[in-house]
Amino acid sequence: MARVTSIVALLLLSALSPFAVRAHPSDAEQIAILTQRIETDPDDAQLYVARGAAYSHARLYEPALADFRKAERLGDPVLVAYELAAYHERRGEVAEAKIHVARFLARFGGHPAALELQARVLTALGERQAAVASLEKLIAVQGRPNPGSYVSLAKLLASPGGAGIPKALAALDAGMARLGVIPQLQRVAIDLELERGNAAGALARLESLGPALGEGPEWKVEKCELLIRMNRPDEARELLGLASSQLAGLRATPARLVLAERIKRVEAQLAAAPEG
Amino acid sequence: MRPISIWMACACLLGGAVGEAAAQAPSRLMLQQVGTNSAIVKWRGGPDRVCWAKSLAQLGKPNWPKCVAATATAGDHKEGLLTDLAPDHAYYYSLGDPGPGAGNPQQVFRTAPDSNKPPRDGNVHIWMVGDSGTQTERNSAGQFPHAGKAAQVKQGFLGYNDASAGGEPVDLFVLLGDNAYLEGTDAQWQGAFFDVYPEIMNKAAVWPTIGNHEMGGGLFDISSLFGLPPGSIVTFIGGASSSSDPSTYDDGNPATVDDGPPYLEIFSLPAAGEVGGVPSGTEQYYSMNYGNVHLVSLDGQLSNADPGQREAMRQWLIADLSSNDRDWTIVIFHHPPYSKGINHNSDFEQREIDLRVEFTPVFEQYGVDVVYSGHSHSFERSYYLNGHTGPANTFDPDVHAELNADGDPATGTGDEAYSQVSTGSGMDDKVVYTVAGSSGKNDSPFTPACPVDPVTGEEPQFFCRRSDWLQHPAHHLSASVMGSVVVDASATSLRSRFVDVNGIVLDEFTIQR
Repeated sequence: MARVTSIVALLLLSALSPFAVRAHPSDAEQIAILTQRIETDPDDAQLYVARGAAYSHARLYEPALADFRKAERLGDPVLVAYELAAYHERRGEVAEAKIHVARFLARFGGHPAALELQARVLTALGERQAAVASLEKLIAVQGRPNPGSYVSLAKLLASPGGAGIPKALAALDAGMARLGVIPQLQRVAIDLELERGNAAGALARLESLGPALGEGPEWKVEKCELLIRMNRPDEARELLGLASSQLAGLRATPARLVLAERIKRVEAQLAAAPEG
Repeated sequence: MRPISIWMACACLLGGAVGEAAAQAPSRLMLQQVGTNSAIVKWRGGPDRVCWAKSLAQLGKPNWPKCVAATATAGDHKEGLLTDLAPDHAYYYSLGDPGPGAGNPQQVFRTAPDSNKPPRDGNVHIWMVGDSGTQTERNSAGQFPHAGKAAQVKQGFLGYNDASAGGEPVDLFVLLGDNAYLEGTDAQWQGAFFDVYPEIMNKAAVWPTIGNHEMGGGLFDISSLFGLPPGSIVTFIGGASSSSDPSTYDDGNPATVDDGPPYLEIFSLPAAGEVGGVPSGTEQYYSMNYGNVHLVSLDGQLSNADPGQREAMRQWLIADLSSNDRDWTIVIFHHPPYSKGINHNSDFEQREIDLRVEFTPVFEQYGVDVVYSGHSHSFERSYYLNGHTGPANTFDPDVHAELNADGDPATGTGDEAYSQVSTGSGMDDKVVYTVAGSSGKNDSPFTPACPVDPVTGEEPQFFCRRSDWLQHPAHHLSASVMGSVVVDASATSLRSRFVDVNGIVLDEFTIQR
């Protein structure tokens, strides 16, 4: 009997939706199935949360909001809060998003997706310190932190009104201690060193990237530019020659064309610099 | 000279050890990170050491091979790092102790050539499968409607490989995502991947990329819809997480504690540049070198979902491509930047849009030759493109494609083979994009056509077959047919072929250098 009813159910499901047995659901498929479910179970708050999330993800905002409001009336509003925050973020309504994600995190403090959403909306609102706190907590709870999280944190710390460049550099160095010396972090650190006038620090960081970048021509040219800043033109000249030779042996790409122009500019700088 | 007594003791031990190895065969065995001087053998179950030698005969000698104890890794796996290998050389390996009978002629791999040159056989031979994980894909009735299809695709490749490629060994086994349906659980990886391709992955390193199904989903009990007791009908709902955080992985089973996607436990990927390429600091995206090929795997699913992480990945890609000096550059990621597949229109799906807008310019500026994706369950292959970042209706072949002598987009075949350094621009600035997401199933042409709004003329994005299905103007060829991709990279050409389940080549193009 169970098998017969299962077959009947399968046929019904197929009739209702040609894609019902497809196992690669889209937002629309979710919406369709959840709608059918809501018709038979209209007081289940989580069904409305799920359907609202699908509507929101598909950028169908009016029905999304209606579902979230219904879910709030039927069940625990906190359980709706994360998806409601995501809804508002998608619509650019970051102030509203902030309120809802804060409610969610008040109960589920270590929820990574909510923390990253919170960091984004707080950044958008200019609340840097709070955004920093969210990112720091996100990184702390992540078993496998993404390099981008450290970059976002460092940029916040270094931004006007933030904790300052030293803190930003410390965050990047903490990231590299955990993930290795990687260009996504070290390049941001190099820019920050230059911003605070520490060319020597920038050079040291660039040199640390040398092995990872194969000391390619672009790396060499960047090093030349730093050496010129540090009034070391002879070293820069020698390195620039090596960069040019290296570049000449590589096939032309638009990026290499740009690099060739950059080399010319550095050559011009060196031509104007005194020897010795 | 070894004392006889010791030799006899060894023989006894080895006899026991071989017996032990046979009795405890691993449930999965694959190669990872095969480079110039090292390789990783990864397995589950079975013995706790791996041995290797340059020949089967050497492997059978009790004290000849090198051996290393396994390291336990996440997900109940074991790994052995084989080191001090010679470049471009075959190595046989076995689990357990060496000795008579220890060798298996099927467990052999070839290390990468030293520096930027093809292997001794003249060719880096790459096999790619996308969305192949359908062996374990169940429908709402608990059936497995696509069982056997991935194996058919594999047989098609093997038949082609024997008939047309002289049985050439695969150098790189590349996965384009969604290789274990529905939720990317460990059990699904076993059934849809390890049990389907054992003879491939024990000879060639596996190089995957993250698809949306690698990030799980959720089961939904719809029993009450039919007035049935709970648990009678459970269907899949939810798809992948919209978060960029792998810890949001959900296998849909409330009884399990999810601690990230099994994908990241199953694969040991180079986050520190272990096989060439620039260190990324994360296994979610990485690069590697094999001879004269540079392969980049981007994370279209997780890192792509957060603007900050996506930008960090983009900056890493720029650094990586800037440092790359290999003859050929191949990029893989799951979500195609150009596709008119069912449910995955690249004009509409945000991940695809982001990859197209933010990454295709990087590919074209830094000399990427070819890009392969899955996600859409069909085959779609573009012209030789540059500069097309907008929706499909903004594609202008005169502006965005390499043209032939007649002013039409060149096809890449025959006398219209592409030149790596474009004759028009004098630079390596064009890319061929391929969607190969039909290695386990393909979208049906009998899918009902989308209704057209009589007022706006618009069609829904989902749930039906749009009138522009498989008709992206940037594509040379599109077809809803199962198959896989074979790429051959020599010193002078890169040839890409789409091979169907019968081993027939349905499409091919060549880039020459």
